[in-house]
Amino acid sequence: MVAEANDKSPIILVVDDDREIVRAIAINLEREGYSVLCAYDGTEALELIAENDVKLIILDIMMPRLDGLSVLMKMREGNNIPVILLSAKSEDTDKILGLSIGADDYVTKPFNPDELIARVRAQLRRYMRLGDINSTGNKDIVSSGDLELDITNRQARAYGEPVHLTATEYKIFELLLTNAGRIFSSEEIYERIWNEPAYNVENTVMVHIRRIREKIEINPGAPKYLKVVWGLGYKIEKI
Amino acid sequence: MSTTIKRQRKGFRAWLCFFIGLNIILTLCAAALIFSFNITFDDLQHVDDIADLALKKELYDTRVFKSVVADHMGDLLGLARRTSGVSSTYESHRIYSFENEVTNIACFVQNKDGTIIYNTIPNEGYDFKYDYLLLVKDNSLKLHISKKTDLLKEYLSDNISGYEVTIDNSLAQLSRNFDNFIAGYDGSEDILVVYALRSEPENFSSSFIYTLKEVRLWVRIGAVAVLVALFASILLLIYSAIKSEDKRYFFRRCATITARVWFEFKLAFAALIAIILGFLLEGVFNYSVSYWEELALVFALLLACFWCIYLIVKDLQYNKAEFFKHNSIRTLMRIYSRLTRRFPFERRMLIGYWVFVASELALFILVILTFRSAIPSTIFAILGVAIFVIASVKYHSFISDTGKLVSQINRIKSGDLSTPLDLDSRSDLQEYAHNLNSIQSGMSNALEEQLASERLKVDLITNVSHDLKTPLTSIISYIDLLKKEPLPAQAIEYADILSEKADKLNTMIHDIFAVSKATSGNLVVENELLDLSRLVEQTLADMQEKIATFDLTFRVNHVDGPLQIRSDGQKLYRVLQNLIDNALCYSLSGSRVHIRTWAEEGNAVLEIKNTSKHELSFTPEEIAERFVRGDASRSGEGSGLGLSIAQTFTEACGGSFSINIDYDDFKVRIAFPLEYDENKPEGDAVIVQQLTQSPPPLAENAETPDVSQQESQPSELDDKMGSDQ
Repeated sequence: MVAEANDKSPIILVVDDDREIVRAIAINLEREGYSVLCAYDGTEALELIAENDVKLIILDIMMPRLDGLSVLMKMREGNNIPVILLSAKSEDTDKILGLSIGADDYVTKPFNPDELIARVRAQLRRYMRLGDINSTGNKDIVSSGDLELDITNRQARAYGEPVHLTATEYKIFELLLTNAGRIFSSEEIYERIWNEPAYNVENTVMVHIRRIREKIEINPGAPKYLKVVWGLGYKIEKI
Repeated sequence: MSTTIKRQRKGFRAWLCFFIGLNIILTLCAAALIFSFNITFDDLQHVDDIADLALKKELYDTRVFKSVVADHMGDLLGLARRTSGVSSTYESHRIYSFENEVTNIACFVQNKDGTIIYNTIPNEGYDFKYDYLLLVKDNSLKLHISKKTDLLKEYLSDNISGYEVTIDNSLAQLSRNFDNFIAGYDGSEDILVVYALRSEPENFSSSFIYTLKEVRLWVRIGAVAVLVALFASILLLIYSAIKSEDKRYFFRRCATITARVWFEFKLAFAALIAIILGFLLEGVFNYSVSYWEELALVFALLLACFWCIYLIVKDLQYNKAEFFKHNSIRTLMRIYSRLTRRFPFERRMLIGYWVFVASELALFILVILTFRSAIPSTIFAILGVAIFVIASVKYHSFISDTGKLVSQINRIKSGDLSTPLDLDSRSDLQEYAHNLNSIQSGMSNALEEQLASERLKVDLITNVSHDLKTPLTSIISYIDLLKKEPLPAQAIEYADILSEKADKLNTMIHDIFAVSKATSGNLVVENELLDLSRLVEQTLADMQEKIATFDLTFRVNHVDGPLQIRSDGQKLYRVLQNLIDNALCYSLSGSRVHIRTWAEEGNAVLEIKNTSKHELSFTPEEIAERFVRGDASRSGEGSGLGLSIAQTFTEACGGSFSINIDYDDFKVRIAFPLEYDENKPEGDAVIVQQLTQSPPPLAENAETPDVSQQESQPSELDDKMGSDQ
């Protein structure tokens, strides 16, 4: 099923050997206004990539004839189109392998369709805007991966989109992002933000963390940036 | 089988070539040695004379011949000086050098006066064949060698009258060739001497000259024979050198045969050879051997001795230590062990001990009895000491083997199933070591099978969960699409139910996968230092929304404050989540859930206690089983894997997990070894201090702030912060 390639909307290639899954993804993407190309094995996918101006690829790993990782490796010889890997394998090692070969994101089956769309949007935005970010060398912008904080304008952005945070959330976000990678215990966060001695504050901090997470993460259930370090505290991943 | 015979045959051939070749060479060497020392053939006293005799083209040119002829001519010239003739019979006997030759040589001597001094030319005249003629006439010496064996008469009649000489040699030249010829003759006298050798000797046996001819022939034949033999032997040796691999194989085969012979026999054999050799060499060096036959015999014996020594040396070379080890004592010991083998171990060892004691005692008595005679008593004493030494060595090796056996048993006990125990084949414990090895390999095989089946199970579960996930992806995707369509209210409700159940199915598949991985030991654990108390707080905070929906009160007490442990926080969060979920699902509505952490005997302990709403009719072992649930009807939510995951994850992370059921009280206890982190920063310690103070002491009626109360805090604080902005 090959959709009409619209000149305006970016073309997304969906590759999976399960036709129903491809169709469901395609419907969702088309509703969002993207043009969709479909392929059901690796070789077909490579042909379509060569023939069309594909802007993003959603690629299943386990496929007949040519598997997703091989397609990814072949494809990466020529270009840097964003690739979201799709797999039923949920092991960390599988994820690491996929990402190290050159995938931009990794979604495990079964996935939430909305989450997939969100990731597609995030990847596309990043891919299109890549040049702009490099040109603006603003010192007051702190960033880690897809997260950005413009300190002068007190403006937080996630995946290129502005995020509206409350004052406390903003303070916590700023603390964690400017010290990305460092673990803060709930007491430390509380004392720094509220300027009061911490007393049984785990819940308080956790609630705020969860709210920030819902605003900045694509899948708050499996956060990519704002993480709980169990038994120690909280941090934003430094990427 | 046929190939070994073929190889053996080839080996034998190579060896035979070597044997014959070496024999020939040795024989030739010996013959040459004897010849160079011991030539007794009359005038042939030097090797170079023999060589001269054999190598010169003509007999007349040889030194021996010339010297003989020179002797004869000297005598004849002496006669020519005389004035009166001699009666041929009497005088000729007085001429020594002619003694045996007189009938074979025709001589005629005439002095300067023309008187015939000596004449042995037979009566029939010059009518015989000659092949060597010397003639002194007209102050010159003439030599005529007849190839055609002319008649002397014809030659003389031609030449004596006409003096036509065919000989090119002057007297002086000739005399240089004949050593003694010129003595007593200056060539100035006008004499006539005729010296002619008959072609056919009349009296062969007495003729030196003609014997010389025979000898020359034989020497030549002999020389050719020696050369041929030498050549042949060298060929044989080269052949055997090329086929040395086959030869070695043959030696090895032979060595396996000679290995069976007792060392004592070999020793006796060697001694015998030494004695024979001694006698032989003594005989040779004292020249008591002189005849050819004796010499040949001695040589043959020497050769035999040589081959015997060769055999012994080869035996030693190929059998090495076995050469000495295969002896009567060992054979006796082997027979003894074969006889006692059928007895059980204990009895065998006892018999050995008593045999030792008895033989020592017997030898002791024998020494005393034969005290007066030195040799037997010494032999018995030596025997006694030898047996004692042997028994000691055997006992020592028995002890060390026992030690090895014991340590092997310990090794197996501690789980080493790969290294087998190798004892010497002669050891008394070898059989038991072998048995132990089979037990070990049996265990290791069983273990491997178990591991393989476990791995298979994991593979199966991995594949199944993968195969389940693919259709589930479609289900979830299409439910989602369905929900986005305009539907009647009832259909929306149905779609929501479908969505909820699909999500539940998804978590169940994840759980199954996690448990199967953890139980098979394939779980990747990333241990780090963390605080168990904080982990509990974080988990409760994380779950507070869910907790709030239940009519339960949580009482949390961190008795000893922060508890440093080394574990995998992510996995442990999963454990706590499952345990709290479990408490939420199965607690009696309105009851309290108690969570306590404390330090105990170097362990950080966490206990979660709740009151069950169902009667707990199962054992702790049963409940931790996979897919077992508290309610038999299985109507509640959850995959039935919660406790199972909690247990396997805890154990995989290095902790211990136990369940205690006391009527309606359900208690889970988790313990991890405490870690003492000395490098902890100062700031953290303060925070920890505050945390320790926060929970009030454990008391039933203490005012512990429960989770539902805490929930109200964030919003208040948020507002506060908001106003600060």
